[in-house]
Amino acid sequence: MLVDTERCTGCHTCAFGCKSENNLPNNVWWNKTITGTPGKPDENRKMDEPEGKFVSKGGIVIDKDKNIMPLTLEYYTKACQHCSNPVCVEACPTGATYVRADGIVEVDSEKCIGCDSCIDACPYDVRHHNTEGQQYGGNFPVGGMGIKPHTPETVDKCNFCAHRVDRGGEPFCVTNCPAKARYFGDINNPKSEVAQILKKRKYVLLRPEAGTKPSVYFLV
Amino acid sequence: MFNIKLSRRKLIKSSAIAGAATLTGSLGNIRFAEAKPVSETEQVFAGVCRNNCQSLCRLNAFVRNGRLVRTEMAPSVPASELHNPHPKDTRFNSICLRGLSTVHRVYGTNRLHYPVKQTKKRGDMSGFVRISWEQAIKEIGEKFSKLLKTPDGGRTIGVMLNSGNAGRLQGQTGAIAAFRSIIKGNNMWHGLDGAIQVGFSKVCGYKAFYTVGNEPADMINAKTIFLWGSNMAEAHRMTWNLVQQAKEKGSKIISVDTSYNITSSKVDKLIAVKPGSDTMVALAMMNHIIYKKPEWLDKPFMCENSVAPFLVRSDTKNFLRGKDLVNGKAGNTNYVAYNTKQKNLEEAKWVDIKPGANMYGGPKAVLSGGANYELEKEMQVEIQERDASGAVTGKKTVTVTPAFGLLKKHVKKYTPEYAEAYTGLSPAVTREMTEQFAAPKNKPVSVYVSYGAGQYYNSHHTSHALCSLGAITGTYQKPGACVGSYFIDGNFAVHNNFARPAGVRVPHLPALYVRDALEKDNHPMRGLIIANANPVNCYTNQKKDWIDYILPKMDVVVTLDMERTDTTDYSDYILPVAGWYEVDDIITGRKHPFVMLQEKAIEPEGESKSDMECIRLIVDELDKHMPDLKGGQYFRKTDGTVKTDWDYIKESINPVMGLSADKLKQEKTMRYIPRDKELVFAENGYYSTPSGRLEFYCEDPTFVARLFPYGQAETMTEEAKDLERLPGWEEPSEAWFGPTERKELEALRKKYPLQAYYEHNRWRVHSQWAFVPWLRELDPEPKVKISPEDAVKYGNIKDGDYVKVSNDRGFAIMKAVISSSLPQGILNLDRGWHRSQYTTKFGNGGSSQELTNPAYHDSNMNQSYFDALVKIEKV
Repeated sequence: MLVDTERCTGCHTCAFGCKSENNLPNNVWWNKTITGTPGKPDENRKMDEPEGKFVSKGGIVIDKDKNIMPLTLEYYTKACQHCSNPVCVEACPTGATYVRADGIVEVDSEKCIGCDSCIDACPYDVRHHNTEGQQYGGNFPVGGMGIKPHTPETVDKCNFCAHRVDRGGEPFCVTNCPAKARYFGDINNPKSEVAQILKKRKYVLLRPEAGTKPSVYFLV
Repeated sequence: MFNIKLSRRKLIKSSAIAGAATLTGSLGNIRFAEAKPVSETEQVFAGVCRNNCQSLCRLNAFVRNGRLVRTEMAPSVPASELHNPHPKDTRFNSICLRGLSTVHRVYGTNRLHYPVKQTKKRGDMSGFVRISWEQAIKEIGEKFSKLLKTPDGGRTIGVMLNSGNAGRLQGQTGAIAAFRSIIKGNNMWHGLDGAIQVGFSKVCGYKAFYTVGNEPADMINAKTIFLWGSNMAEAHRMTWNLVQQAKEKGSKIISVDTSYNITSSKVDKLIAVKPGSDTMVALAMMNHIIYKKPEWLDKPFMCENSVAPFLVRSDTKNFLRGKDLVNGKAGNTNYVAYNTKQKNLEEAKWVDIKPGANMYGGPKAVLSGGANYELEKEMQVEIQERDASGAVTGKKTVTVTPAFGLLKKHVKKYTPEYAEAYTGLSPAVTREMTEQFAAPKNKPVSVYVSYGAGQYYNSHHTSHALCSLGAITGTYQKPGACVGSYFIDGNFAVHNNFARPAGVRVPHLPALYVRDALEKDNHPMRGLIIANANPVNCYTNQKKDWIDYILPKMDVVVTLDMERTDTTDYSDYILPVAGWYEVDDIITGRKHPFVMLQEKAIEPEGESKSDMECIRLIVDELDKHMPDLKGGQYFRKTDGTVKTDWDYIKESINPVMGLSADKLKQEKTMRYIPRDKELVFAENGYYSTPSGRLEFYCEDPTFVARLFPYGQAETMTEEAKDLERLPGWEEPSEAWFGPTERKELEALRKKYPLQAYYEHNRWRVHSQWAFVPWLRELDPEPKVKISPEDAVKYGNIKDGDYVKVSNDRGFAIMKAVISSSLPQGILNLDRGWHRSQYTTKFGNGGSSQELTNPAYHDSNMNQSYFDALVKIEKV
């Protein structure tokens, strides 16, 4: 998955869409919109708070041509990175977390014992432990077709909307990004859109030093 | 290695709360590429998110077991025979977290399910009791007919309709508008974002009140885009995509604003002006062009398409007309210009300009001599005088000046140096932005003027001045060039004739004038019916004008809504209306070049009924009391049967461009602008002004009084009239930090040193989406942003502190957010929270709408939300 941070306006639609498609419990967000620069350790930044100071030079606050930028405001989104070297898989004692043939890192709820080893191992803080009695936005199931139930005492996370991918589609956040900032495809296929874009654009990965080899690329 | 916490998960008790694995059957008619049949039944319906964020995003509504389960962005517009240049047109595809949260509004705890009656004092929540539809309609019929039978008739009832629903049948121009026509109730012009439109329509034509602008996608053709008073990347998400495309293509994007926001982070340049000084900025830009860079003027364009060459009499300040010239015949309305080649006065000929696709047509004053007209010098002309009856009484010599000459004289003093104290822009910055706007190398230029610039007492001058800039530089009638609001006129494709029975005239009582009308004019209005509107939440001076004064004067208040709001809280009768996905409807206009269909996806929740049915029931009841009203006929076919929503759809679609209800049913979305390029506003050269041209000089300064009359024209002073003919400079009412001679303002600034500005953020649109729980997870409570400097200055306010923002009109308790997005002197307040959502930790929490300023300008009738001063203190 590619996320074009130039196009992203931090609108939270992908995060909200994820919640809606996957019928997530209240206060659970598999995908979060973060105010900040991908790759920078600034996740505690206040939502929508620019970095810097409001300075007006005779009325000019921003002039990119003259490199006048006393304030910057960036967003990125964070969900499971579907790493090619997933430490969560290593950490899972029951084999519940596994890598599908297509590269999606998935949790088999039947095998998961809710031990949270994966949560501890994951450097991205993107996994959620379902609890008994967690509340939902509505009183009947909403969301996409074929979504996973959120079984209490198991761990859940973004699975690139595997139920949509299996039908030949794309994750909800990709098709519903109003900024057209998200791309999904097979990076190993050099003809794919994602591979083509990656050839041309600079990108950053989240915490590359963790050695996880994330599959989510942030175009900058 | 890992600290493994072993714990057994409990058995799943029920699968009801998550996933839907038990449904069987075959897939419905899904147009998504990814959708392959799976063993679940799901139906998909075309829909439109139709609040007034202006985007009107097309989305698909998915239904399982008769219930809406999710909404998604609708895919590309289908290719059709309507000459769509983009067979897979994705440019207008959009959605946001609000559109995706539809399910929460349909089934939310805030949803109204039954008719309700207030049995105690208005506003007392314990007084609401459920009643039957029969009882509700009977009692409303009795109360309304009692008022209507008085000699004041329809003037006794105010009909309040706003932009809560853009559906042509159930929304603001539909059922409730029909009710107003039938009872001849008061047209209560809301004044919401009105000022900007007033300036636009003065210059560009009254028919284009809302719709001055090329098709938004045309901005992609611009080399330079000004976003004036627009946080587009947050507030007009769909339109921003088009600007983003322009940006990626290499266009320069310049934002003119007062503070920093998401849009600022994406543009090439952010120019921060003093709040309320936008008119002065435009005047100084005109000054710079006219006096220092006349080569940037487009003289041929001015002569052909603006009133620039037309001579204006110095005595009457009216245009010189054929009837005024010696031997001119009575009734000769021809405008007159001085032809410099032929060295004589030339009368413009009236030529009937044919309407174009989505363009108005009509008489235009046309000159024959190209650019060869005197534009500046005043001259003496011998004219004949006429008496009131039109008979010639004698001759005299008057001084006449081309309208452009008057504009030139008018802007003479507004040099960039003079303007600096007002605008906060250094002369160099003003000159630079003028160059960016007018220099040929930066053209074509699109100026997207949004409502951030329209929330002040003086805002109609801003759009008047900006359009004047456009008129003198030829920034119209070309791809990529326009100064406007970039709305598309949907009335070409869909009419609402059922809502406006021919020949019916209704009385006017602008909402902002209601208090004065009741207080000073002894106005007879005693009843209100409100639909698609939440005035108690959204109108200025909420507490002192609406809750404490106007509502208590009403005998009966009836509100139609799908959700509980501040307005339903203060109503006597609440009628629950069907939600957007529970009815058939058609949607057009705003930022879309499409006619879009809303298919009924689910049954109305509870006992709710469509707006159309609610109104018909009330009208039928009134017919019983008042047989002469004969209102029921408007909801029935000639054979007497009640019209269905599809009947209205069929009769409302104009058969232009092959549009028809049947085709719409099939295609769901149809483009109605039949071009191989984007729509260009007034490309046929016709503007719906008196001259058919761009009128930066407005002959009739009582222009607004013709739109929203309440007697203001009669009392207008000469001084006030002069301010309206050319774009005048007036200070904002309160929120003004520039030079002033008003002593009372100086005193007010000392008491209340901060401007209260209200951003339009992505967590709501106006007061809608206020109770969506998932949105409240992201945006949990009312907040006020304050600059770090002001936070220190006003009591060392810390992030997260509860603060009281107040002025003489009221107060709000809000959570402080220290933000470097703001310069000193400006507070950024949330709006749209309902009164019940403010904290009660410190007693009454007030509301940020209590603080807003109800001062109205007789020439714009605008709700000037940002034009208020406040103070802030820790609670």
